[in-house]
Amino acid sequence: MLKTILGFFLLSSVGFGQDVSPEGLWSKGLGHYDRGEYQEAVQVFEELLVADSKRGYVLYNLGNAYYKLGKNGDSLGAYLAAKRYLPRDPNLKANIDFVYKFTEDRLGLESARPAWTKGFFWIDRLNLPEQLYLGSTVMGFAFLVFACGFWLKNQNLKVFGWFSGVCFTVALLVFSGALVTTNFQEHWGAVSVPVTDVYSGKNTGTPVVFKLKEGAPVIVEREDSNWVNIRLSDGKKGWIPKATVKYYL
Amino acid sequence: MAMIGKIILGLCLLHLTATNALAGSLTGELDKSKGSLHDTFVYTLSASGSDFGGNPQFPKIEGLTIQPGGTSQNYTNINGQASRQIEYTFLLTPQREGGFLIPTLAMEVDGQLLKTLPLRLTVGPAPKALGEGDPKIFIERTISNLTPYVGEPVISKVRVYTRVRMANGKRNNDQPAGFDVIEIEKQNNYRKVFGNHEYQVIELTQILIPKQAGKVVFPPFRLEAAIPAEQQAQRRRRDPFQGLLNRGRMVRRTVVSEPAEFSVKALPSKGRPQDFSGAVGQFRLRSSLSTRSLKVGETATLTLTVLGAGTARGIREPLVVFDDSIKVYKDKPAVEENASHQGLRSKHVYKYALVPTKEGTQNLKSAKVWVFDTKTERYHALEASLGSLQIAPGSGAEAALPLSQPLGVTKKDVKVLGEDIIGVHRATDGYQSSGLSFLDQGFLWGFPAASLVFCGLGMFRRKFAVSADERHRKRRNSHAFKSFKKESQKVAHALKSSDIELGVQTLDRSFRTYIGDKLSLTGGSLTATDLVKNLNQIGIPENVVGDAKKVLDQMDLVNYSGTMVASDEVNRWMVSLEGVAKEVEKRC
Repeated sequence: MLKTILGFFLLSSVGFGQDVSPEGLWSKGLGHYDRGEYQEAVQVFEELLVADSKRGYVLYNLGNAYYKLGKNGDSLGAYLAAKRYLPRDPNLKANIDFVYKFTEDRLGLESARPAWTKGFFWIDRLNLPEQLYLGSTVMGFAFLVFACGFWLKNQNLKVFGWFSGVCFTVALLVFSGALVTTNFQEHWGAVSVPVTDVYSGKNTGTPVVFKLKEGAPVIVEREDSNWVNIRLSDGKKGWIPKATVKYYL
Repeated sequence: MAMIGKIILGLCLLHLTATNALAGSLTGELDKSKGSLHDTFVYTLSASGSDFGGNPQFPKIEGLTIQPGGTSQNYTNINGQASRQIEYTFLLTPQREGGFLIPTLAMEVDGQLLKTLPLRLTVGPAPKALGEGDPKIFIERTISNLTPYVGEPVISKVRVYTRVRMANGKRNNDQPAGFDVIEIEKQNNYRKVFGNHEYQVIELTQILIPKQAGKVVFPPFRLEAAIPAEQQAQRRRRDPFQGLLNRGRMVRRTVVSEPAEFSVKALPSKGRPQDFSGAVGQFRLRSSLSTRSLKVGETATLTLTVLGAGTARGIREPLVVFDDSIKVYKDKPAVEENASHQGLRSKHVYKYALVPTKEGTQNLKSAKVWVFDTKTERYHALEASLGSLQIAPGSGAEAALPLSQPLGVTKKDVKVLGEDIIGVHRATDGYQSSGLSFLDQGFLWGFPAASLVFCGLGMFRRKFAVSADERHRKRRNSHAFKSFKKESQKVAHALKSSDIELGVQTLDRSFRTYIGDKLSLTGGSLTATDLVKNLNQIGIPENVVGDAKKVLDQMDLVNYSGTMVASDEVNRWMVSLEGVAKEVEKRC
């Protein structure tokens, strides 16, 4: 009886000892990676993403772990997802270029957004929160300047008006960029199996429109049960089984 | 007489026959008593009579799938007596080989409970060879090798032969344990003639790669599909309209292939080299060099390709030894597996960037890969000669560099030929979300909102301040004349007291204040010139303005130069300025 109770306590203490907080999982994942336990590292990083898939550095590290396992498609899929949150990270860019060169299809990673959105040149350099921060700050500043015109009893309100008008226009442009980012957000992923057929519809009975090899970068348009509607950077579209592509929405 | 007797006898016999014909009957009949697993048997229960007591129920028989195949009936009228014949059809699909006993079926006809005789049914195995029997649909499974080695790909083909329309096909997906399975998704469709029939053939292919030695049973392939019932019942068709009635009706049918048993062999330990690469199949090794003549510090790319039929999963890289005077940068191997209906082909490409550090002729040693050939059942070494490099002296700077540095490799080259990715991010807060937190959202909304409120308050304050100024101005305007009149009384009082100086000062100040209040003038003292200008602006006649200016000038003389003046003169000035004020009141 005593042994049973002791065993229970020991078991409980082991259970409670597991640090499942994001910080704990982060350290655990890094530990596995450092020891070369890449499969375990993948599991831990994936677990972190289940709670919140917007963790740019976790996606980056996950891409590294997949690469170490020889899964270039999964690796590129994770890197491309990380790019959404870390658009200016030089390490991420280098790793994407590195892994991309192993892909055979070389379909290109250029955005397939409409041409008019190219005017919002900054949206590829800033992630969505950064754009919102910038827009809010500039807009707040515009109001603040305008308010100063009233509070300082300046007779020449025009100068304040012009200055805040410029700020306001900039803020509106930044917010428009954020809207473009939201509405034309491209969820990039990559083919994770050696080769997959791309169908015209969401079942294998429909015609095969083209084939993709491992690592081929694709833009995920939408999901439908076990199928994913994809688009390539050159505009080609089709459906592939969900299990054959790695992406994070 | 004898003739009459024969006629009577004949009539009696006819009556007896007719009476028998009109009596109720029940019979059960099979279209065939023997068949194979591919066959469907048709049991027809015929009842004739004038009154039937409900539809018959076919008993459950273990190993037989029973489906109703329809009902047909016809009416007869013999000697004015109506009778009916009903045929109930049942389709029996065997699930196993062996004998079956179909028990008696009972049915109430014309108030009597009639029974059929029991029937025997024998089911043999499915035809193994094509063309055996005459099935409408059957399956053939072929396996390229039932005794493969571990790692040796095996092609499994399932061919579905059908000469009837087939719909809603549903197949089982049982795979043999201990095999990696590569499904060839694109199926082959073609037509083939057997006997007197042309069949539509659907060919499904799988590549099976055994992972461990031992005996493994490959479960039978099973296909369940709907096929037209007409095709099933035509042999037993009695009624010419039955075919028309059955047309378009589908019945489900299951066809199965034979199971298969693999005997997977382990790779022989005898003769197994230490450097065995793990490749099983028939492979070749190819080599190529981007250039054979180069300078010290320049790069030549050596490409080794292991390709062939078989799997190269987990293959080790070729054995190749380079001289110390050559710096070698390995690229990550590129792996390609191509599975098709013909089998599995794989290709491993290894690239090496070779940077010589010494001039002269450098003989490269050959590259070698050990593979297991499944045809000869032996281990073979694939070798490729790499030839030699002619190395010329490099430019001074490159030649002088120490050997520990990758000579002549530009930054771009290093990037392309790099061996690894950049390491993981280790920031302690690296797990943080890149999305917007509650605090972030607070700032995003709060800062502009606070600024907007601040702006609004400023606007309100300004508007309030402007209104106050305006009210003050109006008050000054409306009280101006009254104040002026009040001051005029003080002037009169001062003059009565003979204090002319005070009277002039009061008059001067009160008039200027009046004009200032009336015209909302602010700032410093109002000069005579300003006064004339402002009065002209509101349209006061020139002579009145001129008088006012003259009075103001004279008052200035009294105030600043001490000129003496009589009180009558001051009274006159006061009247003159009151006249000006009245003119102003008319206009403002």
